[in-house]
Amino acid sequence: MKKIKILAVILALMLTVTGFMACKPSEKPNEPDDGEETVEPVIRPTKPGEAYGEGRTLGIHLYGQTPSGFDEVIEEYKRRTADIFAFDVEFHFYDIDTYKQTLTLNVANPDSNMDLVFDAQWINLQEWANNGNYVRLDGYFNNKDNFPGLYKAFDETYCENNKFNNGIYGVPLTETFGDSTAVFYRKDWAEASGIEALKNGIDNLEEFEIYLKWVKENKSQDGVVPFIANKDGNNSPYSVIMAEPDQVITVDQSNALGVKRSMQLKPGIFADAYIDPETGAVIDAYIRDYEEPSVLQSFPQPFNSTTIYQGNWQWGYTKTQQWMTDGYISSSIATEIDAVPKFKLGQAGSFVTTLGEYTRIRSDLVKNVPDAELDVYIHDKAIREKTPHIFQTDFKAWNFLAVPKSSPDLDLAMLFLDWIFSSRENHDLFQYGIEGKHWDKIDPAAGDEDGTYEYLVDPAKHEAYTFPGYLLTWNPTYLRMPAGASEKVREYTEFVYDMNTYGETLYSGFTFDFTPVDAELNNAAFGTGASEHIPYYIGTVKGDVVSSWTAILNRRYENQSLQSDIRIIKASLIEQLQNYIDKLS
Amino acid sequence: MSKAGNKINKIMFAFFLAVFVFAAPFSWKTASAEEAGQEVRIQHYYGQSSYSYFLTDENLIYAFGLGPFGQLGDGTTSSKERYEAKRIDLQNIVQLGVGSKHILALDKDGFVYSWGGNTYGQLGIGRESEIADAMETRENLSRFVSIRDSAYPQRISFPEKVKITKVSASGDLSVALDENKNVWTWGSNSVGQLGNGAEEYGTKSFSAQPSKVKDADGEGNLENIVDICTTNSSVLAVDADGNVYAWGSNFYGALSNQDTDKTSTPVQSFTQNGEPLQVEKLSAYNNNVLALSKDGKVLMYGDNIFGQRGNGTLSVTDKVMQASEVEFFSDKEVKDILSAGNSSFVLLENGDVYGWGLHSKGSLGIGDYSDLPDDVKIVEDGIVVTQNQVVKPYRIVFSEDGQELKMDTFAGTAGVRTFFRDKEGVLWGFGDNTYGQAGNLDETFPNCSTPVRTKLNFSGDFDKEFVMPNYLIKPVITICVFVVLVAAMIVALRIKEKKLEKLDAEIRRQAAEKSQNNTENRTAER
Repeated sequence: MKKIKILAVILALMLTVTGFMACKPSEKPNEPDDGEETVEPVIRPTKPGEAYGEGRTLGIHLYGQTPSGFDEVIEEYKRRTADIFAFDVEFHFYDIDTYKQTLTLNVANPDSNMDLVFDAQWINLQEWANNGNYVRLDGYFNNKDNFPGLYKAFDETYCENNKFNNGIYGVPLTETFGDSTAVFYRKDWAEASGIEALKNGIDNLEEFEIYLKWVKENKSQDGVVPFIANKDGNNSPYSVIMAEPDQVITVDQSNALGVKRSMQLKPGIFADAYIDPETGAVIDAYIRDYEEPSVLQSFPQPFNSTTIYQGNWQWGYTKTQQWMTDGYISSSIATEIDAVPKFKLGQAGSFVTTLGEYTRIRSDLVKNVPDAELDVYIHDKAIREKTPHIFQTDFKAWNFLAVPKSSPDLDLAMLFLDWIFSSRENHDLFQYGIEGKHWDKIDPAAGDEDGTYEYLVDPAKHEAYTFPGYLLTWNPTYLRMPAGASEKVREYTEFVYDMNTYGETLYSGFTFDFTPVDAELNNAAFGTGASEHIPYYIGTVKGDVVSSWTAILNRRYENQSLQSDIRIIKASLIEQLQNYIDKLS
Repeated sequence: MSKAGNKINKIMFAFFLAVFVFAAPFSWKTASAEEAGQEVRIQHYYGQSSYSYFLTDENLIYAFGLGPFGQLGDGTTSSKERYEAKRIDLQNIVQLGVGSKHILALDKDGFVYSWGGNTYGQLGIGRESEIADAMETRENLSRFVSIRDSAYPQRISFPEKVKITKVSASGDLSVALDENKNVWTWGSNSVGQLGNGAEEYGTKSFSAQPSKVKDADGEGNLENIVDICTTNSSVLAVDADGNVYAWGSNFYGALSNQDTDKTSTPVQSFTQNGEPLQVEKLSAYNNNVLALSKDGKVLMYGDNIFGQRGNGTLSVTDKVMQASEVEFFSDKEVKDILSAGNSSFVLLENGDVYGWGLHSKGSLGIGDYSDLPDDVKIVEDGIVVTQNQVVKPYRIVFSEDGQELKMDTFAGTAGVRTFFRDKEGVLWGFGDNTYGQAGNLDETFPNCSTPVRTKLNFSGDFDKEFVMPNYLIKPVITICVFVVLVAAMIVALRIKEKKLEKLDAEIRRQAAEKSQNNTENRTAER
């Protein structure tokens, strides 16, 4: 008995010590310093008649497929720059997985010819801006005399909001700071239905359900599915159902209440923070969907309840399941990897994608189904009603171009980019292709001085040039309105382009450095949780969806390992955010 | 009755008494919310977004929702929402004060009880050193159970023997008014809201025990106060003449003086016209204050993020720093006012109710926002720029079976949901109903955007409807059972007695017979 008692005491002591170790607060995260020294920018060659960069090659590495007609565009570029640039340009395209591996293996290799590379917060940019893999580029921006193109296209605010480690380590690539998705549907079918509510288009969820029902009843015998989406849960039926929330708070309002919303800590992991508007003290933070919700009771109304973060998910999941039961959703959605072509072939009644795809979708649809007509239903109520400041943004781009420190051709990379962004003509060459061959400029409508464009497509002689602008050329200075778009598409594209649509998030310059808590952010529960919602979003869950999702949430809340890691993550987040705020004041 | 019969009677009586004595306590203690019973009137509602309290006409409290800091008052500290209302073990409660994580309850005798979170000593039960230590180590980050919290009500000890007449709570602050018209505060002192005249205060400043609020000079105590209310981090007090004094944060204009600074000593409040603010009634919630002036005007001050100004404007930057009239009511007879923070309500003498501000998840009870006229929205260049804000007072319609109803009193608010009583005493509510807390499981789930009769949920199932049990039923049943048992016992005893009497009679008869036979035999032998 005595031995057992001794053993019990020893075990208790071991557990206690282990417990303290687990609760050990994280080490103070590396405070980002003021960044490395920025390099001196290369001065433009001024000697007349001497093209710069003789005998050298600029290697540009991107992901995706080589665009059709790209060789012709490169040739045209060389023709236009023959007097000023003598260096060669080589583009390399990879599939995304291969690209990531290639980048990791070669970023530090000076012989890899990696001079200009695509990167993003969702790949390596945050980390490599900190660890010295990339060159700090501040000297090339806001430098009107030597780099007028970069000066024109990247103003001070744009640059400031896209810094990492307090420096410009990536050239931001975005056209707008938000995008509007819409439900694309068959206008000809809506009209053919003869239903009064659909006569003037679809303007709310109720009307959309009438359309789905009609397609189900009248087209399913031809193998048509009323609504189609991919199995990944993006642009899902749930996203359409939940697009008319009864709780809409604008960015300005949440800022005034002191709530900094939707900070991405790592892909798929988002947090909100409450900062006392009076004192500037960070009161607390909340890791959405994973943290047990008691912390929200410190937040101000209406942010002190999960309903504003999770929405009326009980109603939404139930309705999504009902759509599946009613046959509005494809029964094979759980295996669908490429839904859009089915719509273009006339095999689906509707799907969701961005407004910017309208011209392309319409073109392909009409090619396959000549009598088809396309229209859009703006399912997001706040966008449909054009609520100002409804998109919150920190004016950070999603994609960037960076220059590896190992590259001997930094100067070529920056000169090349400066040329692209120096004029609409240069920019449009890469973004849209050769005028007259790949696109035509249409006479500008009144007040639209920059004109519009339309693809010139001749399948017998040419292929459409579809360059992925998000990898090289996207910029807010060079927006164009897509021609061939319906009046509604143009109207809402203008809304997306209008800066008044955006509200700057509180302390927008703050960027979370995840590296001190990377291990905690890699908690297995986050990985598992990343896909748990998908079956609910696509309507494939059987049984009581409310109980089953509640059980999933409760499992996360009761996962002590996860909650413990969340506390560590939050401590780091709060400390970094407080430091940032304190430096501002 | 024979001795044997008496003994049997005693044994049987003891048996039945034992049954009653052991059964009765169970019948009292095991009375649970699952049992249906008679409907009980609800006197008042108190709550926050994620937890609710109903105070009944019997002065009992029922709680449900999310209580990770022990707010449900029955020992639970779960991070799961409880949909079922359960009674808190307190009696004779007349009023509650609800903070962001803690609750105060005042009973008929003037005692105050507290439970819930205690990060800043807002429970008033001491433990300063523990609280201070926790602040230093930032342990209070996201915690929901700790030695500093209390999941059961505890009575607060005041430094003086006083009877408390009103309590109020908000944020991490607790306030009480005593019968001597002094004000007591405890909890967070981040912006001087304790009113103790301290020159230094901040995020780590607090008091874990009640102390009296100082007067404007900071020397004596604030006196002659007849009413109190609180915003998130300031206290408002009304004296016997209706003058308003306030202290704490002035970030949203809660002090309504000609200043913008916070203060740790009371300052007098003024209207926008520079006159002393004198009120019949004051109501505050979150960062907003509504006042009913002595001359019947409705005034407001605080933030105007959701159009709470009520004059057709909305501003995320400009606050209303001094009490300003809501002119819509200038020609109306106002009976009562209620601030719900992001929204506001006024009850007229004729029973009409008006609301304005944020209509989120049905919090104004006015139905579909898109059905409202444009003059209560903000329209710019033909576009309605307010998604769900009502910037001018709009009448809320209460109706049943096509008949419109008038309201008699306000019955409490949690900001996201608000309750009223009609002239028949029936409770109505609207707003966020995610956990059934607006009290209707049959209507639009998960919110009630128009007023509905309030029914409480006493089951874990959303689709089941229960009425609130009457806890008096069980004792009545017990008494009836006891009476029946006693009656049965008496009947049984009587039957037994009769049998014994018969037996007795039979024995006597047989004895008499035997005696007779013996006598006859003796006579025959002679």
